[in-house]
Amino acid sequence: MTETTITRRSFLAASAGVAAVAATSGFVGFSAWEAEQAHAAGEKKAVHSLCNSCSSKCGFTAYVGEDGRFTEMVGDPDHPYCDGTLCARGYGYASIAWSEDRLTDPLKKNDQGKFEAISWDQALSEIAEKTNAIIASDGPQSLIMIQDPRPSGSFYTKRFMNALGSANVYTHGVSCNMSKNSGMTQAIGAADFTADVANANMIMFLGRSYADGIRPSSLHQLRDAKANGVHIVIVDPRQNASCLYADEWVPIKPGTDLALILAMAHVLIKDGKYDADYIANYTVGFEDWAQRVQEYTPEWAAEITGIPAETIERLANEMWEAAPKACIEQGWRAAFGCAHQNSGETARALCLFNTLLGCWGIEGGAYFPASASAGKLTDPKFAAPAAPAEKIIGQAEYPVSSGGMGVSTFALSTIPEGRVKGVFFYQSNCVAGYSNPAQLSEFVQAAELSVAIDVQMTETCQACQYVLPDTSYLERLEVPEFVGGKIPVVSLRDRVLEKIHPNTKPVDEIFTELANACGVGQYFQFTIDELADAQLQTIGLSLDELREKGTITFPEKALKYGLKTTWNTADKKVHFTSDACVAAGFPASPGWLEPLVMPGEGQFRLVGGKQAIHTHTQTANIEPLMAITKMYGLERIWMNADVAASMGIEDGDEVEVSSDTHTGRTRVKVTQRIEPTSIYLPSHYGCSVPEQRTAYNVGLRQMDFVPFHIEPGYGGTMSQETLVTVKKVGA
Amino acid sequence: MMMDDARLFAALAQCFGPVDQSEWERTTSDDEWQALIARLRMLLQQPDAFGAVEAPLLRAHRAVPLQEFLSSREVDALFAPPSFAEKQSFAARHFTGGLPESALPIESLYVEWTNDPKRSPFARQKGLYSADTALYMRDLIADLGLELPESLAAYPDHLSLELDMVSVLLEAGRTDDARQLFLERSAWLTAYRLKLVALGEEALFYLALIDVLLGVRAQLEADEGCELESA
Ligand code: SF4
Repeated sequence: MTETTITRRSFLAASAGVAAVAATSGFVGFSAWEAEQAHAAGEKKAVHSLCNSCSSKCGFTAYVGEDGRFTEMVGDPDHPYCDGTLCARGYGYASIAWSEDRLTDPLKKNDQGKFEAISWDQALSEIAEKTNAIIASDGPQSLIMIQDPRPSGSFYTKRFMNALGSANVYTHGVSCNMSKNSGMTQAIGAADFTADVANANMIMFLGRSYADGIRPSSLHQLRDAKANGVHIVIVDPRQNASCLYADEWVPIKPGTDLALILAMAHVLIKDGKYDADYIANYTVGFEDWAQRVQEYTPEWAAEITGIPAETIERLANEMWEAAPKACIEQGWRAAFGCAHQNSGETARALCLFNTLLGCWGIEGGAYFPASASAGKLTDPKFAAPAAPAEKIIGQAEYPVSSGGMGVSTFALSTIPEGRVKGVFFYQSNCVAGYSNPAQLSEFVQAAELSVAIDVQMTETCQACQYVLPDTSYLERLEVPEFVGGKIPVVSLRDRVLEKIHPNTKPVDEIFTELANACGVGQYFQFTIDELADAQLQTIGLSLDELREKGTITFPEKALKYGLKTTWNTADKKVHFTSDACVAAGFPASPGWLEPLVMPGEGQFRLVGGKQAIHTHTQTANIEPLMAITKMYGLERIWMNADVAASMGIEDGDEVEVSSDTHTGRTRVKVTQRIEPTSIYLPSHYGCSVPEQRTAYNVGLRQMDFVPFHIEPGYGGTMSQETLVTVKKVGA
Repeated sequence: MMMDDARLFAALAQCFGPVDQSEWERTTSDDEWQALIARLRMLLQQPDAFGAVEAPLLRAHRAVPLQEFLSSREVDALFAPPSFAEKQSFAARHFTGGLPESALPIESLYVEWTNDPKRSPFARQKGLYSADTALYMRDLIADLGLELPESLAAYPDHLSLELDMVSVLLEAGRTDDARQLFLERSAWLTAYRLKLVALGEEALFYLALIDVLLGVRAQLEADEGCELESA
């Protein structure tokens, strides 16, 4: 709605004769109209879509009334992640579509550093001109794209960058599960597996909490596990919300999960309690690890982890007794997704420990979800640009990092030296969440070109020169989403609402128009509807059919339990040793690697973690969700009650938290639910963008307290490698 | 030159909406603008003149009615409407969404989304586009056989459309309906003016217009009260 739009002198009068207005009988006042609405029954249309409040993208059906609003969202029972239920975030986040804080026009920063609305023509032509100038002077590899993967976003960002000749497409992985995925890949050739929680005899969770970082189907599994009598152990510095379902909470010092795994492996290997047949037939390098863990006794680990040696020994033996229907759950972000210097190695060791149990592929053990995917598109109009020959920036420097995710923080750090000159962000609040915000903002502001595409102003948008307004997820169709599970499915994000702001555009249109402006539009000669339909036709389905059903299952591809004997590694075996890890400076098999920092007297390690009603910083600006935060004081830090007593700090006190990079004030929750060397700071708060009226200035932001650094080899952001002090304000 | 209220409200609508340069220059030409201010003065003193087709006898009791509703800086701003370039520049920074200094003149953003919880999970929440007021205006525009202009189609309760609707009703001779619509659809301007106040000097022109509209509203309300009393 910019002033560039030309309209009539009178907005309404010219569109029909005034005589017609004079002749119509009724003028209905507002109260009468309201009364009519209350009694209007009206047809409701069912539209299938996918939630966007977290990366699970649960399928749901929205029931849309004649007034264009929807009154109901119902989780799709066939969707493997939602299992018929949406979480609170899924409902609350829907209000983003109508939020006052939505961006409505393309924006450009003016000379005073303030944003001004500009036309799409101006935005596209200026961005294209700068993009092409950078390519001409420095080549396409000096452009990078950072995106938080969503169905269309993943497709269009990669195609756009590859069309320009750049390989540099990054996800949010560095601050999520990059180290975990990378470490697992070194051991088993797969970035992930799924613990068969509900059918197990015993499950051990390291830091991950299904009841805090919710995926409804996972939480249902945990509920069923409890009902089935599964022995559930939760190892976490904090007694997280999942402990409600657990038999045992084992508090651990942050960053020491690797020591626990090594010591449990020591116990089992020492006593010959491992699946020797499996190891002999389907693995390599076991002897190396067996030798290495000899020194990692439970007593040694007790010192490091804070878990008594007897407990470590008992847990190891219980796991063995429960095997093969037992495993250490795969984790996600929490303890070793990206948290510490040893996160990648922790994930590698976790897979090797599970290998001792012989649990791979077994019902009740650890399985690999069945999958489905679209076939290759043969119509030349969908022809993809050639994949660039170069590797993504950061791959050489972090050789065991996942190339599919990429070390975005490293790529950004090369901006000041001129290696990267242009940066695009799609639906990624990188600056607030991927590492130290002040440092990341400085990098982005040093770029010759910086463009962010989002629905609302974020710390990342603030650092950029151009901001392009995206439609909300409820206003667009996206490419079909294939989801793995016990029964794989394909599901669809369809348009639930008409576009609310006429000057916003969906991701497919934005990248198509950017590509046209940059002169590579030949790779974008199709609409999103055509693309989605063509993808579905490759598997005998159509867009209309998927629109009708929302989620379609592939029962013929359903998971079949059975011992997994071949792996996606060069020799098809599980690797207790890894040449790539050796080349990256790690031991051949995982050994103890200390966290980067260890708390001294009066210091604490700062740990983050999700709460069930928020997704990182993405939902903090959603009023109904923030209302829950405020009602329960969820933005408070957690401090161990004994420690607090010794420092004269009481529940609810205002405290000052300081690290080498930041000092901030908040209130404290004093509790026995956290071990004494940790301070827990929920990862959702501390928004510094005044445009986000609900989230602005509520609580503290975890990443402000974390210096800019990168996990060697694996590339994670080491989000918990920082020490803080805490003091009572006014004391 | 005398300006009738239909033209007055159409011109006020233009101040807040997207118009082209020639329209804006015509609206703010000396004669037109002087006529607009004269008519506003009259409405501030003679609410019973609202919608009168014939120029009523001026019963002006006070020489400076604007000063009763506007600060002297606002009066100055009212007499000096922005150039087209200034208007565009203001709109680029303030009539766009999602910025700290956004001040979109859209009623939805200042009222409860709906007060009927059955009609939305976000009932009673404020600060959401497409509130009941927008749906009401959309229906009203359609019921009267009018069309939403494309540039504002997403915002049927944009101030420009609300003022323009008053103008259309007046032009169609439906003075009572126009008066009712204006009274109903201007209550939110009290909240909106705070947004403009926060913008300081550069928003004075728009603030002056809002304060005049609130003045007219106050007079109409007072006038209605008198009529009720005398009835
Ligand atoms: S888990 Fe919740 S927030 Fe995430 S996609 Fe599902 S409903 Fe949405």
